[in-house]
Amino acid sequence: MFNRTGCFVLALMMSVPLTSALAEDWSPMIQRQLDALKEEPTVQKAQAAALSFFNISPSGVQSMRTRAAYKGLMPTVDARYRRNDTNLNVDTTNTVAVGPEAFLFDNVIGSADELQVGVRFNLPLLVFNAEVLDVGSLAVLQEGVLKEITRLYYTRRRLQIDLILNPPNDPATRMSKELRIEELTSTLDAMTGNLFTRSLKRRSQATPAIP
Amino acid sequence: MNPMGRHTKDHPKGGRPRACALSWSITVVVFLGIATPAQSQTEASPSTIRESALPTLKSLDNLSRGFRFAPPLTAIAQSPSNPDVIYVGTEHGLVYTTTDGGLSWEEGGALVKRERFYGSIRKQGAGWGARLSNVQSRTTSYGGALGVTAPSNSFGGRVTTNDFGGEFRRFSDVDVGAGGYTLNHEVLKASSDAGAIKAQYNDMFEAASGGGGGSASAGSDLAVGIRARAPRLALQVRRKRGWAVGTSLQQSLALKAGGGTAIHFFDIDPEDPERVLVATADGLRRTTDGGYSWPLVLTGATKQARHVNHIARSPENRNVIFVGTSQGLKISQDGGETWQPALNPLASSSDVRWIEFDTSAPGVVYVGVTFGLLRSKDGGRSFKLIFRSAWPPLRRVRTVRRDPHDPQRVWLATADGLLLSSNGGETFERVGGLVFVGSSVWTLTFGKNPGQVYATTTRDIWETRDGGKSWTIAYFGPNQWKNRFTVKDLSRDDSLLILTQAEVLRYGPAPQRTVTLDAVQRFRRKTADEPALNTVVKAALQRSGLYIPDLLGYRQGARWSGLLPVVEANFGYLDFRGENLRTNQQVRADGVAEALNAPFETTVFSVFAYWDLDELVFTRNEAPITRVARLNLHLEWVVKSTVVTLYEERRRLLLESYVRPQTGRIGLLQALRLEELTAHLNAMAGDLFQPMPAL
Repeated sequence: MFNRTGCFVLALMMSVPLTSALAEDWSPMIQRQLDALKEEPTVQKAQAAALSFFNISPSGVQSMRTRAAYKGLMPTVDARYRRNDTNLNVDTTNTVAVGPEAFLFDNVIGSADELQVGVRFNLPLLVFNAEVLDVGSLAVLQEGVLKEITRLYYTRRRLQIDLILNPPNDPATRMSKELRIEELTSTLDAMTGNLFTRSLKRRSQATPAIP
Repeated sequence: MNPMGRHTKDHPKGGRPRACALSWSITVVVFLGIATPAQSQTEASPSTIRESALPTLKSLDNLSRGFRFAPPLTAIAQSPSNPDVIYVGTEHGLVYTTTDGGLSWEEGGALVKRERFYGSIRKQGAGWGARLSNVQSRTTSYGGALGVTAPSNSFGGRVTTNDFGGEFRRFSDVDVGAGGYTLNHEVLKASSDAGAIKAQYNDMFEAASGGGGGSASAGSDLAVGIRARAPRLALQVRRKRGWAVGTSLQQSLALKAGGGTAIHFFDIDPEDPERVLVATADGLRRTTDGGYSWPLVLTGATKQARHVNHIARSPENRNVIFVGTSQGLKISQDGGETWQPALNPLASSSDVRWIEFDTSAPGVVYVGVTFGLLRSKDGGRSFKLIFRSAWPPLRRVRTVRRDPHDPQRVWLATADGLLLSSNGGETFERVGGLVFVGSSVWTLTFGKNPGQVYATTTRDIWETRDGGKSWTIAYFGPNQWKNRFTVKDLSRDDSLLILTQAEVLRYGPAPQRTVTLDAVQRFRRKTADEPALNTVVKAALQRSGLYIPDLLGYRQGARWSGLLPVVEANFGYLDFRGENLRTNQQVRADGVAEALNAPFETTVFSVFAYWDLDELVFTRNEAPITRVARLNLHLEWVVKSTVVTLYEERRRLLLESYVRPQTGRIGLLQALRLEELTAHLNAMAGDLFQPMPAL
């Protein structure tokens, strides 16, 4: 079994040579631009924001599952109040004699106030509730959102890096690439509750404008 | 043992040997040379074809970077002027481009159908949601004791006739005895009586609301939008409802069922790799900026006319472009600005699948259609049907190729095997014997030597080195993905680019690589600290609540739910104030009705417990036969396959990063892909891997 904390430290110590790109000697301008990308929300933040935006975070789903399992503890409560004002006088000839008379009659004059309260406990739900399993169907939504948000995040990041390392000389191509980055940013914003725009706004507020 | 000295295992169904399986490692040798049974006794190749040497070792390089997330892939093309530029298209309209020979890929654009946004939010009360909300779980009778017409668990009083079969209960059917109330229901059946009875007794009845589908609940709000609008749709729905689980479903549907249009074929300008025509299921599009924008250049009045299958440029004049649609051949003389249908009625109305110019004979064009092969000798003005078969699959032409080494040889790939003409298309004969009979051949690719041809079937790729006399298996396709396309790799000699439904593979002579022991040891050290694949899969399934042993354990407990009862407790209070409460039961012996003392009040308390003991014997909940169980099995497969795919690609990239470390832009992009795969796996399995930041 993987011990998360211990292995993290160990792995951190052993994995320095992994990303050769980190050791790259970029020009100061390129390095500055690449460093600026680090200020943007991380993919973990984007993933968490998207899951939270769509209300399918793992903790939320787990909570739903737990609540579904204990649902049987709570009763269904029915309450009813009813009032009848009656002036009923019905005489009906009956072919079958009831007592000494050959007719039936009802005579009710007055009002009735009626109150009913009922509770119903579905105790078998404590043993098995299909809704616990039904919550599992949210997993595919989780998986879909994660896949989409990660794909969009890195498609955008690749374009950004490409624009920095390999800037097009043709203004039309440059504009086209920038437009695509903008499109991806707004798509990410729409899926994460404006995470990227908010981050950009925060950064621009933190950095004083150059006169 | 095959001619190369490798041991082979016989195919269980016949004489076909099985090559070694693909794994995640960089290269795997897959070559077996055997003669097919039908051709094993035939003579050597004709004099025009040189017998090639024994096949050399070949390898497969996987160029896929994130492709498996947008399958199925459908089309691939390599730029003739810059072989490092490759375009790949998908069934759903996504275009991926690489400018570095497949080391890094970029999503160039998404082609969507020209259609209106069709997302919608359904009105409340419509559909199954409303119908289901009216279903009552259980009817009880104690309510009748107090003149209740609705069941106790539906005190709202609105019950449907469906629930009770049109039954109404009378208030006056209350038998007041010495010990209190007892049940004495008189049930008036048949809902047709209800109106009359209601009119007579006015407020004494609770009328039913009538069948399902009525007014009660919010119906299932479902919306499907085109892909590009999906996030906006999600935002709008979320604003409207303030509840996002439903929105996620809509988002998921919109993303997966969006209006992407299938890409069938790319035609890259011979001189400019950024100018590309693409044949799609919704018209012909063109990019002039390397794939960022794809305006339409040819559409049609009907769906068939818009369904473009193939594009071909004249070898004499690159501005002359032929386009094959499902409703005829279209020709442009000005590089795609204007289009005219072919003059010949046969060509202008057929379902065209492939167009092939004869580079050695100006004006000769072959056009493969769904009923045979057409040929024009005057540049497309007139056509003649030169091949037709009585067997329908055999005349369904998929690809027509003229042999570049012998202009007289014309190859036909059909839905039922391979045909070859050695006299310029006058007559055709089957080749490959039983190898291709009954199997659909998709593409034909020529090798560098005369007589060397690769035939791509759905599953495998076969190679001949003697012009079709004998065939050897060149590539066994993976089980999970079908082959879609094969093109000659213009960047290397004797290499192919193979497009499967989810991968781009380079197949060719094995490159000489030096792998240092140190690199391998570092890779092993790195991966030794990482969790194994089964650990990651288990963690991801548990995290998403889809781990089968857990689910089965929970299901098996379903039977014991029969031991616990459904408990119902009720309290009722009645207060009557009036002058008379006389019924027949209070008639004295002398015939005079006796009035019950009024006012009066009474209370009632009851507890009911129900045991479904039959559940102890068997309940359908314990078996995976319910909708939820079936859904979970499917979801388990989806999550598992995604994790396996991510894990496998990450391992492969990791190995590459140690064995063949890249620098500069390529190195950074490779590291970025590793970061992406790690982040994705961590999100699914719960931070099992150390993050790998590329920047």
